[in-house]
Amino acid sequence: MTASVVSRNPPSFVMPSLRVPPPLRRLLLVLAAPSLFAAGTRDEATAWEQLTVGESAEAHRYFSGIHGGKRSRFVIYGEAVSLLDIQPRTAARVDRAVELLDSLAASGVEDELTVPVLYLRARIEQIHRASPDLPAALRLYDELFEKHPAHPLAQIAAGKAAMIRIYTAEDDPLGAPLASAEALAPRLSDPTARASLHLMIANACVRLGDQPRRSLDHLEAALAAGIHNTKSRGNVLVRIGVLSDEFGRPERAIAAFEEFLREFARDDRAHTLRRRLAGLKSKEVAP
Amino acid sequence: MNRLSWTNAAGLGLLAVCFLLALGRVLLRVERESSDTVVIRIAHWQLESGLRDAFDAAAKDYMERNPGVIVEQLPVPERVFKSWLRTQLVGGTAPDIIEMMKGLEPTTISRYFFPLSEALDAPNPHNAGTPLENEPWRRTFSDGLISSFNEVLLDYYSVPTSMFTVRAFYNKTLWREIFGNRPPPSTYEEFMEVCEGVVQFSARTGRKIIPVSSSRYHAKYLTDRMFQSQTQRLMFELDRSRGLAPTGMELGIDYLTRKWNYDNPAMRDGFQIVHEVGRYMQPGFSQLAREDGTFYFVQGHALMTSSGSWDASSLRAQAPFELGAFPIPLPSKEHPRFGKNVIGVASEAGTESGAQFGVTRASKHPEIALDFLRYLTSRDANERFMKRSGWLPIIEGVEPSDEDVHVKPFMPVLEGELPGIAHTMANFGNDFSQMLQDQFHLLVGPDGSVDRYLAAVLPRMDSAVRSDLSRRANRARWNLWRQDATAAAYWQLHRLRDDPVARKRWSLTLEAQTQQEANALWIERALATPSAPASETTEP
Repeated sequence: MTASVVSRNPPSFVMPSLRVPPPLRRLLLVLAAPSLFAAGTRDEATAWEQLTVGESAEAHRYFSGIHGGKRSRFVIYGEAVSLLDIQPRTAARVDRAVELLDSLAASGVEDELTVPVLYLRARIEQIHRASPDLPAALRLYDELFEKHPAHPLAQIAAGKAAMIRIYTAEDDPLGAPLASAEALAPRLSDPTARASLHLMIANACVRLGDQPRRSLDHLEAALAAGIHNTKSRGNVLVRIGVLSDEFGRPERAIAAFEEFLREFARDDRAHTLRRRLAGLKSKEVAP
Repeated sequence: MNRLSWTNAAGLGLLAVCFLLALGRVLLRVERESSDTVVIRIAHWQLESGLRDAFDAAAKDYMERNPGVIVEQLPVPERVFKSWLRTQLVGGTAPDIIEMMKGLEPTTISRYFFPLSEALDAPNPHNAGTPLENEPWRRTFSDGLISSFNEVLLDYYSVPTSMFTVRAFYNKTLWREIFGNRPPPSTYEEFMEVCEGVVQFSARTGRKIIPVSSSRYHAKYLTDRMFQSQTQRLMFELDRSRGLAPTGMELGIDYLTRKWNYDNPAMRDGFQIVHEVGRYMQPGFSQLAREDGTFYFVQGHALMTSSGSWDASSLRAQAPFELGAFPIPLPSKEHPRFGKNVIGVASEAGTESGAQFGVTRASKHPEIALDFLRYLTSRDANERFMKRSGWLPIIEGVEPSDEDVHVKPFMPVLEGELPGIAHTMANFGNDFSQMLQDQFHLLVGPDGSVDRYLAAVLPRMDSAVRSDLSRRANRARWNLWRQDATAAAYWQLHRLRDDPVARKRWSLTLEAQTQQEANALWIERALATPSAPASETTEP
């Protein structure tokens, strides 16, 4: 048994050496387990790991339980983040998170937390409050990108703002809102921010109107930037292949289908794509 | 002491005895677990015949290779599995390995199960000496683990042990009596001839036999594929994104924005097939439970039924006759009415894997639990599991031989066309499915017809679709909240450790969040727009 199971093992504790028979010792331990687990979070990294698996109450207990000189800016930020995930969600918890984040922002300190704090403030206005305040979220996203255009989170923020503007446009979402999102793309250097923006635009082109050719350009750009999710990447390859075929770019369609079939040979679209591929190739060799 | 006191005393005594018995069981188990022996418990709800034996055999093989390890299985009835599972997880007494149920909340999964990505990236040591020796564990599954990936949590929390296909089952003994050596039907036309032949046989002999035994559970396995044969072309017409697989959300929004109509010719033809096939099932089948439909078939009152490969071993064990199976027959392209909609036999390449198992955080020996899962899904063990259980293999290169006559008919058809749109619109939502189910009798009942059914369904469509879309938007919002916390945490872990894995997970989280957020905004936009009258549908 050499391989490690997982990176996030649960907090472990050492069994106390009690002079009682093993069965009773285990029973006592089971009864005492809740209090032992309550003290399980040992450091900041463990608390962040707990947040990644939904153990927000435990993480919150750690972050909010640190007082005095040890209460760093990161601990305050951690408390705000955990408050947004802890159940049950209440307006008071969201307000307290805002209070903590505003205190961090008001300190005027410029450090690694400056952007994450502003980003989370914008997220709260967009989706965490019972009544979202989209204009406030847009203002905060815009400010963030204006002040820190090179930061990956600020670039994600710019993409979120573009998305809100497209999907909430009352008239012609594929007009000015989409054009301004397209103008934003070259300014994004972070691959995740760029790929996400292009994918969002590609979808909007066919959801909110009928602009498949424009959609194809953005699918290509998203693929070039790098799509991490395997399934999404497969879907994008199929879409690029089908659209390229539709718009008379057989070489590109062939390449996209071949790449998809190499990776997803057992997909139920495989047979259809193999047939299309054969058709494209036979056209290619025809005089 | 009066009679009441005696009764109370007896009740209390009984309670005390039960408590002591339970305590004794716990202490005995604790005693064994505290010794040098490691006990790994695996829980599942697969009570089908042959499965428990197959699990036992796999456990025995593993224990022989690993002295000091005991693997125990805990079969729990499906009906109570979900509540049992929640109790065990919350109580911290969950077994080491548990079969994952559909519908488990992402928070439950992430809180109580280990993510498996890193383990899946390494080769499975139990594949040593096979062609899969150097392959990452992830790539040894024939479905590529596509259905094991949790789209919300962006990780794998379980691995499958089998895949499942759907077939029509038939009573071979009765078949020979009615049709002699005639082969099973391969097209819808032949299937309908067979059904009519059974009706005539029943009338001629006076024996009460119906063509197809069905129930609320069984019907969909026969009629869904038949229905989808009629919407294969429609699917391409509605595929605005060109992904060749319109999602339920896309179909729902496009319906509300009148890009298509549920009452179009292809859908009508699909419903006509369901209506025609329904006439050969027992009256009132849509109200019957699964057990009733199965019982009717194994009692020999029907020639055929329909279900998944998971039921094959149970049916074989219960039926006092020889059991056969054939793929669901679809209309041929030559069919005078339905042929025009058909592109071809549907592929089963994307067949979902099943019997997915995960390692719980309650496990005291997660490394060993994981190792047992690796063993169970190794090439050799999966082959033995297939032979003992009669279930389909899930590991690359494991194929049934000619001797595996019970497995072969269920192997998926890999070369085939895309199935069309289901009448449930890719399991669009609960309210929509329930609404269809409530009106189903108007399609398949004694006075049923496509017109009667659609007359009842169409006025209810907008409300059901809106309700399900609204629920999707709410669920998406909940995911977005979670993802904000998760992304923030990964970003901080990356800062603390300069950890590329944390950075990659941050990217995955935000990539998925952006897509889900766009979906939610699109749904909200569609819900905020009043739908035009259905008569104003634009296309197709």
